[in-house]
Amino acid sequence: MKHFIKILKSSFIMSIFSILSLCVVEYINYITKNQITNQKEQEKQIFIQQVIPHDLYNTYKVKKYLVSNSLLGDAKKHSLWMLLKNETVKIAIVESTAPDGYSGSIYILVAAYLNGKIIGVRVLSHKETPGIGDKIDLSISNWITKFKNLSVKNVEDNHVLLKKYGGEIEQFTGATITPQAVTNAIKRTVIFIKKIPLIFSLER
Amino acid sequence: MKWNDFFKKRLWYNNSSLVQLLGLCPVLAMTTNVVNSIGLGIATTFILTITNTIISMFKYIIPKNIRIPIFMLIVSSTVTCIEMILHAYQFNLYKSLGVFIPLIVTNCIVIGRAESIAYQSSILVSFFDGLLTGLGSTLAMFCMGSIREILGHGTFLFGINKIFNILENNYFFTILNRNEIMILAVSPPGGFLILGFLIAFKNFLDKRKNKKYECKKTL
Repeated sequence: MKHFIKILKSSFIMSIFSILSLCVVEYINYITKNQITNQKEQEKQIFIQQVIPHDLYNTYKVKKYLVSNSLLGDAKKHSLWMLLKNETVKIAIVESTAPDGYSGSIYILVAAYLNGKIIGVRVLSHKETPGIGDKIDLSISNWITKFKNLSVKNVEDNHVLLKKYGGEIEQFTGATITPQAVTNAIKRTVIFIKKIPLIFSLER
Repeated sequence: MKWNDFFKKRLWYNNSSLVQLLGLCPVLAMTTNVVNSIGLGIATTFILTITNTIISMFKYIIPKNIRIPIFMLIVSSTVTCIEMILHAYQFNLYKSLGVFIPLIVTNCIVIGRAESIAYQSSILVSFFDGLLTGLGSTLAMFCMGSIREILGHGTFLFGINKIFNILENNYFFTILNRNEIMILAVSPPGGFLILGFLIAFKNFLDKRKNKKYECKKTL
């Protein structure tokens, strides 16, 4: 009986502490919830502004979708922004992944016209070796801006490839796996963008 | 005199990162640049101070046999709160600290201090203990971070605008040229090497001081 009372007392104290800490966490969550969603939206806006010039972006109407496709690197849901003018889709902005980076996946954001012409590309996050593989980041070098105005015709197109494999993109010294992964991911994403009218008309 | 000893012990002679070697995971992983190490150090200091104070306040209510789960409960809820606040009001810092804020829960310094100091001492003592232990850890992380950033990236205080929003984002010093840097310093093995050198340097300073003290005694 003495044991029983002891157990009861302990569990009572434990539950009081759990309820107290839950209340505090819930209260802080209630305060910061709006601010956090705001920050996330702002972050996405900043990324979109980086891949597509602001004055171009403002003339279009924006619709947001979630898509999953094997061309985008993995099976997760990716955000897709479609920019419309006169009820027809002109530009698509897609979040994509390069799953074959040197250390882990590289997340990129690609904006392109539906005919396959690239407007802009940025790396969202990566874990490449600092000093060697991180030149894909805009804050280190301007390599990623060289994709601007390139266009992809089909899967066998040799323009969007590293110079080592007969393409037009310069690699940087010390790393070939990272730029190759990024280039391939951009190529696949642009092919996906070219397929968008097909995919969406099939769904309807 | 007693307070002087209290300060010195926590900041230098019993430094949590350089002498006790506690919580090395964030120390080795986050110190690739100064701003990240200062950010994580400040977050750890905050959490240590808050949890130490709370545990010291409730030390007569918490029974001895279930103290560890209750400590974990308090520590984890504090860390969650700090994470949400950082996410809301210091978004850039939150993004670069990333996964290491939730990992403060498993940082041995926090639970160790709660067990050894806060559960037995008065509120004032445990408050200052948390503050000073955290500052000592921050100091060690700052030294490591500055060495690694200067050797590995060639810059100093890169991205300071993440902590002080008033400064512009080009406010940093370039010390080494891009061709003269050592990538080893930023990589994980370099982290171990530099931590080893720092500990050796600290021991060297302490030994030299002791020798001088003994020389004076014999004279």
